[in-house]
Amino acid sequence: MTDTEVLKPQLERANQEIGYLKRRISRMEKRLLRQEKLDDMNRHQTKWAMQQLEEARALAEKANQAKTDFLANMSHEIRTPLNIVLGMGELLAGTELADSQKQYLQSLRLSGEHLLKLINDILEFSRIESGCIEAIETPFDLKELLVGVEAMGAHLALEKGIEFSLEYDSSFHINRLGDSRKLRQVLLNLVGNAVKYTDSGGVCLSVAGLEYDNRESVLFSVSDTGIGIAQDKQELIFERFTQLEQGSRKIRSGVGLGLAISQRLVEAMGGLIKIESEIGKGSSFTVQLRLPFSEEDSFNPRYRELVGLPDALGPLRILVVDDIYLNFEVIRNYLKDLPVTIKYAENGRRAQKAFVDDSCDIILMDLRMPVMGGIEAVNHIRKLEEKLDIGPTPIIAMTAHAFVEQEETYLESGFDEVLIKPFTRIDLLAVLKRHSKQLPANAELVGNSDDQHASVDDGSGALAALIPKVLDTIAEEIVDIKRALSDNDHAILEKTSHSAKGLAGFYGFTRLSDLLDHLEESASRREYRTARALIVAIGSHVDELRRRQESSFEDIAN
Amino acid sequence: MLESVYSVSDDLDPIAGVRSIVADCRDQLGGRRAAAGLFFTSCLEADYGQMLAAIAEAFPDIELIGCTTDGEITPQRGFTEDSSALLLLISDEISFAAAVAENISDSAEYSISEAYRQAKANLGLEPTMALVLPDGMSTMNVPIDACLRSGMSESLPIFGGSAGDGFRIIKTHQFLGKELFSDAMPILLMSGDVEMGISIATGPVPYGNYYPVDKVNGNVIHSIDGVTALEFYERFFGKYIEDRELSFFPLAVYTADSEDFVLRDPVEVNRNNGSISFVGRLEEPCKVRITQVTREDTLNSGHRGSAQVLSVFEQAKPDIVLMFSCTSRRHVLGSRTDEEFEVLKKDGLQVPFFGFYCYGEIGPFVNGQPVYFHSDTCVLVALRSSSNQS
Repeated sequence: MTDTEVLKPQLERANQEIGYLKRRISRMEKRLLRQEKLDDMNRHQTKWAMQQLEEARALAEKANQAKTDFLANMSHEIRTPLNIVLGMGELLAGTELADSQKQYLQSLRLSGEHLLKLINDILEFSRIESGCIEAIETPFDLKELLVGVEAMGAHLALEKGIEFSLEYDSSFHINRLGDSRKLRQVLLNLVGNAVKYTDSGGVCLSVAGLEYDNRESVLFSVSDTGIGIAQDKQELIFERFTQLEQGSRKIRSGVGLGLAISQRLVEAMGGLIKIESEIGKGSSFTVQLRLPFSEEDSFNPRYRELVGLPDALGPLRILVVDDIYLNFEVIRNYLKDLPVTIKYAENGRRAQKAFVDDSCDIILMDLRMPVMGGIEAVNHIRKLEEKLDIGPTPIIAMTAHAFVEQEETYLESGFDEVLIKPFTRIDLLAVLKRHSKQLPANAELVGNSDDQHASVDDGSGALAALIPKVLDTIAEEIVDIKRALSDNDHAILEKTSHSAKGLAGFYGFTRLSDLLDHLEESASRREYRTARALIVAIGSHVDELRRRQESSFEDIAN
Repeated sequence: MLESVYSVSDDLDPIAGVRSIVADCRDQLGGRRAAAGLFFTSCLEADYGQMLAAIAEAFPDIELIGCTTDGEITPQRGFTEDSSALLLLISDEISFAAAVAENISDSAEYSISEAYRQAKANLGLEPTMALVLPDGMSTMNVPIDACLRSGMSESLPIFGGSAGDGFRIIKTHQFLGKELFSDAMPILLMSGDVEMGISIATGPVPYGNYYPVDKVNGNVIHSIDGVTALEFYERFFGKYIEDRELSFFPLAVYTADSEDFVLRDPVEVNRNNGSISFVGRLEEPCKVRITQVTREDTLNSGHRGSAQVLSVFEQAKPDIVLMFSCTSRRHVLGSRTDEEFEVLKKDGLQVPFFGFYCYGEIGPFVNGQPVYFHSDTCVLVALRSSSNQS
């Protein structure tokens, strides 16, 4: 036997083993490659799934928004006829009624007002939910705000037969910077809630400055001796549509939005809201807010809210564009103590011409005007600026449309800011300050703390003297409105209601402005039956206002 | 009483390997007489005829069926490749009879019915259950479950797995006694005091939207949700996917307004027209969902399935667990394949298990219900002789 023959079986075995190992190695390689590919595919799949989830989330948010919009629209729809009902009730109350009729009417009006409050809460919450909430800091008088809340709290407490007290340090710095409207709303909500859930004892609103930041941060506490809230329910009460219940029984009326709204408002102001409560002993809600001190008034003792202004560079030239001359009158009155020159144009086309003829520093532009509206005018002006190679002039839109989405549209159209009608003197000055480098140093942003438009008049009576004219103008608009309604011309109806609404708002006729707002809304939806009812209510209201106006003149004359 | 002996070998020489497992089984039998046998092999390009002859020579009287696989499963070695495994069943109370259905890609229902008739005749008794091992390649477009129901019985518990070929997807073989087949399905009928329990473990988890299948032809999907089947898959898994990797991501197929689904593995992509062939037919109309496949889900499902099948006889242990696990499971599990048997291998249980990685699994969702063809599952069948009081 040769060596080869001897070794042959061993060689065959060795070859088999090599083949086997090769196969194993090859399989391992394939397995590794496969795992890599599987990982790649899984990663791709994960990425895709994440993308799908993101899309689904966006869709869900959209659906949620649609739901919120629906809620807001429905509430709005309910509010319009309800306002008519209340308006009619108000008019009815001024007529000769038997005692029993008066009682029925009182119940009707109370229920209606309650319903209106609920609907307003829903609308307010919808607005907050859709992100239309922004804290606007202005100087305000904290003491005055607290006194206002105290007046309301004391009134509510008196009706329930409980006590109400306001406690604060008299050395407290009262001039503050913050969003006084939101703060007032939060405190009124908390106080109202505390009274609602307290049957004996009382409610106390106490205010203290926090030492850690030199008392700029303020702690507001609303404590009551009411029913209290169980520990496990304390977080839930800030959820919307949550109300205290005993078993399955709801123990107070309302839709449960007050605290949810308060919480969101406090958060919007950068503050904190907390609750401490014990069943049967009562609750204490605390709101902590930073309200920096504002400068003292040094100009006019009637006005306390002051803001510093940049150095003077020269008088300010303002172009006011509004088809309603009386609106221009308001603005002129607001600015009459300041070194400004004001020009007037009644529509966009005239504004264009005025802009070319004589340049200006700021333009205040109404949106809805005959001949040429604000958006078209701003387009032309922007093009002109480009053509003339001059820098952009700040153009402020003035509108009664207060929705955030619309504001964004206006800004995209070329406006620099949107001023919501009716605006106060302080609103106007703040806007002018933001957009002008030329406002004189001695010009002060002065506003009346109670923020009532018609009373922003400096006391000279310039605006008050215009009121009969305003009412006459609105009465003329009503004639146009009636005509438009009989012609089924919803466009004219909507447009005329809109301009009348702005005018009424400017002169402090809040209720009239609200009614005209509903009329505009009804016109846009072509709800003529509602519009007809509203026109009757508006007509009666204007007549009533004119009567009151005349009698007050008579009083003065006498 | 149902007893079993088994052995596995991955000897480099397949014939030597079979001789060693035969010798091992004979030693374990210790004079007892085996009545039936299952032979599985993942040795590629081996002389299967010679292997079968070696077994027949040692155990000439047993009813033997078997097939080529994608790997064997035994308690001794867990998962093995390039190996052969033999299981012998011993029982005085249980009768066995085997037969084979041929040409099943052409005439499945008829040939299954004939084979069943023949096996029943050999058995001489009413069968209690049946184990089947169909060709995993030629039956891809055959409604094998429907043919089993109509060709054998709606009510007979039928289980098994389809033959593989080491994931080469070229050709599989089936065995009956000493005979070698392809495009066939061996059947082993059992009769007597034997109980069966079943669990079906599903690893892939359906998720996301339900997509309508627009056009399907047997086991070929042409269009889903307005795009070709390939574009549909690419949407989820990216481009440059290859057929083999694609097969690890089955579709969950829903045929009615129900949450019950069957999984269908994609196996071949036609890149000319964007259609994809699946293992198993799809019923129309149907909707599909994509599935997510992870090692954790695959292992967890296997462990749950094992625990479930071990407890089907309540306090009593099964005599044996037969395991038919989809080949895609082991490819997904990779180096963790052996973890799939952890629950079965737990100390103290000492329940023998035996099986293979296959191209499709067969069994009812619940014992007593009609049989279905499955993909991407692990079908675990527990057998126990009713006379076993232990």
